[in-house]
Amino acid sequence: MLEVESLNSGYGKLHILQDVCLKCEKGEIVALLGPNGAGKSTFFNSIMGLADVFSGSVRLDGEELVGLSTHKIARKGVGYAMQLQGVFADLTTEENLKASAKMAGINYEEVLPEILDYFPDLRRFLKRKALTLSGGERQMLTLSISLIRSPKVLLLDEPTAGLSPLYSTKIIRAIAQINKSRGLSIVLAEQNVRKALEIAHRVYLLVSGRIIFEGTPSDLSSREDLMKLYLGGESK
Amino acid sequence: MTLVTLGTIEQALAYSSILSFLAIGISLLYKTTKVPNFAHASFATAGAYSVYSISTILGLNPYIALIVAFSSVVLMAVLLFIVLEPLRRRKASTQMLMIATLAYDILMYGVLNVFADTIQALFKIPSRTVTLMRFDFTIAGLRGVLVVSLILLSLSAIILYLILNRTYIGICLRASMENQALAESIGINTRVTLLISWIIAGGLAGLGGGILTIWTQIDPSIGMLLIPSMFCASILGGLEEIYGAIIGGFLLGFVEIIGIEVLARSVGTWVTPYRPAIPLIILFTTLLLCPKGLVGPLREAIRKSWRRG
Repeated sequence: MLEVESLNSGYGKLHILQDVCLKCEKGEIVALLGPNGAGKSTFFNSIMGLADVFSGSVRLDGEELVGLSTHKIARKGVGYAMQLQGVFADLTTEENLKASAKMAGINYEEVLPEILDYFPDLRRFLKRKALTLSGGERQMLTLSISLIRSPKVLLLDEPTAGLSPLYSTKIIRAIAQINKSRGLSIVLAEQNVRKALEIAHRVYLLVSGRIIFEGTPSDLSSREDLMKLYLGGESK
Repeated sequence: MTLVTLGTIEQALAYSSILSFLAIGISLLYKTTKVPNFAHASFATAGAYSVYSISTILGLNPYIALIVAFSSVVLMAVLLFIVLEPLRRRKASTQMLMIATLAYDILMYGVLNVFADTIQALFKIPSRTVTLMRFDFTIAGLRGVLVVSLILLSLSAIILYLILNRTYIGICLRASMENQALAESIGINTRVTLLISWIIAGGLAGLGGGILTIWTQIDPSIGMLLIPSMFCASILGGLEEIYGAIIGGFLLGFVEIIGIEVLARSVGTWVTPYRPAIPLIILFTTLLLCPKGLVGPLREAIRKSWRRG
């Protein structure tokens, strides 16, 4: 499915990721954990062609993505829910979803009911501009925009950032449900370690642009040194 | 003594329409590219000379020649897009892109001068300080250019609204204007949406320039004389507010025409050559006191009250 090998990337002369390798198989949730500034967003931006890739490869179903423009990468089947700015604030909820579906060649009317099954609250906001939505509602829309395109792999950059515990739980549950019902591969960067470990099949720990741990959630939970140093001491 | 005559109001309306055509393009391009397009001066001049040359050489009605003005300036705008695109891809700064539009404007100023001299030499027609006012008609005592410009401006605003709000292309265009990275990440080719913005802005500038030929005298430097007014109208309307540009165009158009008329009657006609100072004074005042223009803060206030409600 998604294979990242020896990825070196950054912005201009700023080298952020160093030899990063990550795999996400079909139907898998892979959690990408790490402290602030570790390079999680840069990792996603590198996959999407929004950061400068200096060397390495990113393959989706064996097809190389490095060097393609962002819209082409998206059309190959990579969905990306950006952190905090994943919606078009001046567009209505409906327009946000329509634009995303249209660009993936998907009939909006056909897929909308499924999206509303995951996020029923959105039904009330379809005609409202996204800028009028609360943080939690916006995050639901962010996920829906990525999901409505029926991607092969979904990159989620801190989907619960800045949300109340109630909305965080709702979003994490929805991610688990989407993964289960659609068999969708998901790479999830998340600050809420406990919640991420609950739903992830495998975990990578990214620190200062390097992967320093790869394993199962229980493997990571048993590594008290890593949990204390980099993840705020949370463990199962 | 009546300070403002009906004729002055007619002049103000026609001039405001022309400014609005030009300011919409500046705002649209700024919203899409974040670059103030200085080549809009040449766009207006090219539109004016397209109408003048086609009407004079081929004897075509100047209002029909507006189609040629629209098309030719679209081509000019597409050419500028092609010039700017490699710079944008290499992540050139806004200042760099702005200077590129200025360079293109200077180049086009030269080309338009050569064009004016060429048509004069080849077809034995005057090509500087010329007008097509004599080809204009009147409706109910009003100059045709006034009626046509207002109708065309209204139609353009309605069509633009329908494109932006009722079509998928328009939704994608608005999405790209707001956040290009996000637009790309949902599969929108922002190169295409940028091109569409340049086409719309160029076409409208062509229409504005074309109408200018029927309204007043033109010269290859007419665009340069208008550039402070174009930017002032756009900034007054909120720079990124496409429809605000129309409000800005009318506010400035009326202040400029009526203001100078009132000043000339009360102070003396010696003040008339200082008319270009009016948009500059308004521009500086707006930037100092209300940098977001008049429409932006008004919209924000409505939004805030709506959120509170």
